[in-house]
Amino acid sequence: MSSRGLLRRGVLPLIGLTLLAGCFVEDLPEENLSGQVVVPSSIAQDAREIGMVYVGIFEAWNPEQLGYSYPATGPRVGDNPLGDAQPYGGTSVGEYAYPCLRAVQCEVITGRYASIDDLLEVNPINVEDGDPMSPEQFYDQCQWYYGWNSLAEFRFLGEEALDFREDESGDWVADFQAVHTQIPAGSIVWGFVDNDFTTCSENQGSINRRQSDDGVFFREGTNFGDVLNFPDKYITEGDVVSGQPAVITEDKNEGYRLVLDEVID
Amino acid sequence: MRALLLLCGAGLALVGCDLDGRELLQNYDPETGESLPVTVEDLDRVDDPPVVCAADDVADGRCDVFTGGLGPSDVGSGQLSGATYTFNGTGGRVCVIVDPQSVWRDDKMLDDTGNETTNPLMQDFPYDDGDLDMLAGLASYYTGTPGELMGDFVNDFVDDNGVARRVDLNVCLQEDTFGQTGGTAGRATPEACSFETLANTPYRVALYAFSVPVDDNNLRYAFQVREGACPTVIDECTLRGDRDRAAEGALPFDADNVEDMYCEGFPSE
Repeated sequence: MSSRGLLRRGVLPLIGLTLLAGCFVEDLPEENLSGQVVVPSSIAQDAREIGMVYVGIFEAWNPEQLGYSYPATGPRVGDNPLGDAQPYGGTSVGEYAYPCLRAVQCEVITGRYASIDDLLEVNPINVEDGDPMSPEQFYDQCQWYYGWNSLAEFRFLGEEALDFREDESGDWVADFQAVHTQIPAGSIVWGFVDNDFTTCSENQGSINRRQSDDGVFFREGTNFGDVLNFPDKYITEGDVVSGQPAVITEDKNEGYRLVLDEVID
Repeated sequence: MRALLLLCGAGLALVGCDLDGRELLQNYDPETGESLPVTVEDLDRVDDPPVVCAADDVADGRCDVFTGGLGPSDVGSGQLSGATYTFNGTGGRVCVIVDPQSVWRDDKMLDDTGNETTNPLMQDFPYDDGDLDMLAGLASYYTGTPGELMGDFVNDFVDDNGVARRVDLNVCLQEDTFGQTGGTAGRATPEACSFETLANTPYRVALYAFSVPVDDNNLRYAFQVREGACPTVIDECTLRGDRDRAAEGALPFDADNVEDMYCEGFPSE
């Protein structure tokens, strides 16, 4: 068989079959759900003060169990203080980012700071002699730790990367998208803001990428894995929950609005 | 010439096929070349079954330790070797401890103060170690069949929104290194948990063979159920008997086994 014949009879049908594989409808029940979270200006005057925002999709709402707005939970099992909220899915607005030095580990999240000055104003850091760290010193530290050579590489900084924007009434609004979640009609969207970063585990996340230089082992920190299963473990005084859930309606997977307005005291 | 080269290439490529991947499986017996069957044991039906150690006996240190053995799991088919033990709830807290064979570090031992120190006469030998994982819960939630098939405590239900869900009703909650529940101990390391029980209600403990010792495919373990909370410190020496006897003269000072070497150190003069 000539090479042209081989191409025509062998390879082309194979390519056709490969392309067809992308056409199968799998009928998966999971969908993407999108909407906005709103933090009233009465709760936060500055978007940089808004902690890690968690949004979950849950079976139902039960404001009575804990005395504040909370998802319905499954049975309490073993020594767990509360039942599992068993989320269908969820997401966060922002994520923990290691800010180049351990002094502010688990205190910096993406989407809150436009510049180094912005970050240092909210998270002041003192250098060894007690003076506040300058933006240049912070830049140098990040350049050493990550190897970044321009501000555009700072993954937790940038005007374009800010999550929250101010709406016409002065409230803070951010988009969210929960991917691959079930969203049956009647289920709810509920969320909370972790303002004191109790959801961050300093002992998890990526390993110190400069370990070979200084011999120090630590992890960069990331969120615990069960935040949406047991939100109550992490909700502390000063955190904010959505006083009312958004209820999922049939055939609607976008445009939901969740107001985070109930401060835990 | 070209055909010869092609033949040689094909021959070389076929050499790569002369490997038996079963040798990598824990249930493969290199002596017979066969796969060992899974063993599922119902500890309620053995001759001398475990018992729940009463609180008074716990206080006096008079609790019996059950020792048993398990064969390898069939990882390929997903069938696990394991054992189950069923007991009636006491109406209070119950502690369950299991210690798989044998010692995490054979080159360590406890000194007179109970602290771990180096044993200069021993080298670590991981090939006599195995790993057991443990779950427990209400017997009615157990999905397996004692003595026949290992199961777990994960149950299905349909929620109020019509969505099929799963819920894990295992009450033996062990913390991982990050303080999160759902952890299990690793090779040769004891596992323990305690939980509140309803009086006269059957509870079941399930032990799963995660890995068996490479040297004999037989995983020995020590097991105990006792009233009350678990001891603050649980280590290799809390339960004894999860080891093979060493060949004569194999260990320093004619020690009987590696667990004795670890827990008792050198014999005093």
